Amino acid sequence: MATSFTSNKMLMLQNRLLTSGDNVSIDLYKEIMIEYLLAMKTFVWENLPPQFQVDIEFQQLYKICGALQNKNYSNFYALIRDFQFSSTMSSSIEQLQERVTLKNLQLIENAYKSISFDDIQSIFGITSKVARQFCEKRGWQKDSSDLFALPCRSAVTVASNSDITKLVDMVCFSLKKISLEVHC
Amino acid sequence: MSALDQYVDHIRRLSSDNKYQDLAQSLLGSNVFHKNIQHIETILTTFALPEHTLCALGALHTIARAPSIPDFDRYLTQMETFIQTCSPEQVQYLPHFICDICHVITERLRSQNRARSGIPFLFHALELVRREPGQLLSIHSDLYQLCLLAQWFEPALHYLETDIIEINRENGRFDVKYLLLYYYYGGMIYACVKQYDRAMNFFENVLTIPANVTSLIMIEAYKKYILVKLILITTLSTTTNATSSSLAALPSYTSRSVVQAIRSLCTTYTELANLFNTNDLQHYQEFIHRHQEQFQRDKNLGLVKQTIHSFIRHSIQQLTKTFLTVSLNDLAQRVKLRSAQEAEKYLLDMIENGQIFASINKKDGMVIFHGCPEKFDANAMILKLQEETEKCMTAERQLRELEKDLALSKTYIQRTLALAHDRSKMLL
Repeated sequence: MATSFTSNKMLMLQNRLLTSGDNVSIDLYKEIMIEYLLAMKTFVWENLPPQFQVDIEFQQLYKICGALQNKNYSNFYALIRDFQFSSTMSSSIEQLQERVTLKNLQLIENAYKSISFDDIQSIFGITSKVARQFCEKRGWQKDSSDLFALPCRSAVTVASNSDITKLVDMVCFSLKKISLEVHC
Repeated sequence: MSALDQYVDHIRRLSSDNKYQDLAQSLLGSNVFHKNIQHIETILTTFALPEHTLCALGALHTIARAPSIPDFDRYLTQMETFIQTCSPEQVQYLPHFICDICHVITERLRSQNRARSGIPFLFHALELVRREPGQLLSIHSDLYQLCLLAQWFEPALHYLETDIIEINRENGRFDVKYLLLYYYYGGMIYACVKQYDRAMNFFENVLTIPANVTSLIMIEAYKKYILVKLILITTLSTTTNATSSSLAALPSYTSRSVVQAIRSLCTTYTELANLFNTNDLQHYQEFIHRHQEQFQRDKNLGLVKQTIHSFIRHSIQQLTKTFLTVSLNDLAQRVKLRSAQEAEKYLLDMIENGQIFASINKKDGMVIFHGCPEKFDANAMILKLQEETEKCMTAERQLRELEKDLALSKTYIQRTLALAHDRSKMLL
């Protein structure tokens, strides 16, 4: 069976693209680009009209997309830090940066028993100072040399009994209905 | 009064009297418009929309079927206006006229490298003609073709996400080619957006369509099917009992003629799939290098290169069946990677995608492999179970409706009665 691919916001943006005809503004493309980056999907540069490809902000967005695709996180943070985005884009870029950082922190927690602060900087682009702050915030331990962080995984919520009961009732009712229909 | 004027009056009268069935028959059976094509533009302006939708559609269809369209951009604008202002109820009497027009426009835009400008038009044409979300039209393959050429996939994905449960016969003009192309192009689109499981499913649908002869579309679909399956192997091994020995195998319900054709025409790809079992990365890369030209000719080189990464991931996954702990250096050597850093990158990717469960201890350079930590007791799993159960129930409901329609269809009843009659004759 099919699964959903696009968010509601992306659907709305695509609808605007479909109905705009030849009068598509560059800001609409920028919003779509950000939405792609937020959803961690690759934007296809070739889809952009040539006159928009010369826009400096868009070129920067394209480089950011490339850095994310290649998982070059040091470059990703540098590209965001070293460029002055317009007021319409800056909140989306900030949101993107937060999402990427959170995703990487979760990955570190899932994948590492111990990792040096230097490695956090070289692999994930998070500076040593920022990494130490996260260490304290997320309850990670540090080893005796103070060079390695010892990440710990966040707790998973367990279902309450009432949810399981509801699901069992639903499945049993459906199976009973199917068997009645078969007998008829 | 000329024959043309008489005809135009006749169809306008039928339209005004709401005799759409007769009007459709008249438009199908007459060639007056074809014989007077030089006057078509003038006649078209006399058909007001939406009242005389069918008449206008007949005229527009005549222009599309002519050997050449004098002013194509003007015609495209006329069609866009028609789609937005016509009567959807009248269009249902001659859906294949819209489909024919879409095919002509698609072909013209494709040859002029203007794929992008046709996508909104085809999107709206589909919305106009299809009667329900799961209905397949020949326009679907046109839309997907243009989406692939323009590399703008969202309009196609909007339709691909709904499974097909019915085919619009388009007054008997629907060809199986459009069904094959729907799944072939759909598979390509899913491969572009890296939804490889859906892509594999679509390519498999192309291969398993009942056939007495093999279409070239099936041959091309098989090549991509194998490559996508190789890319997905690490995910398939985690979720099912799929092994590398079954990579080149087709489902048991594939037509015999298709299996035989593939065996003789796709040997390179079958051999590539068999090499996956050897666990020899160098040999695998040499094979790809030797046949690079062929892969390039088939436009599959990008997918082939992705199978190399999949090969490495598969090798790492195989190690988890043998080792509980292994050093990063040892892992890199066994999988024939350049360095421990490269091995770490692959491990991170696989942990992120849920293809393996492991922890890296950078302090002593060791990797510890775990079993799946999923205890199936979290809220997310319950929601997932609920979702999957609802999907099964919807699929079961749809199957029952299809079964009921089939059992009540005239062709089926005639065939079963004929079979029963033959059997009783044999007994006598």
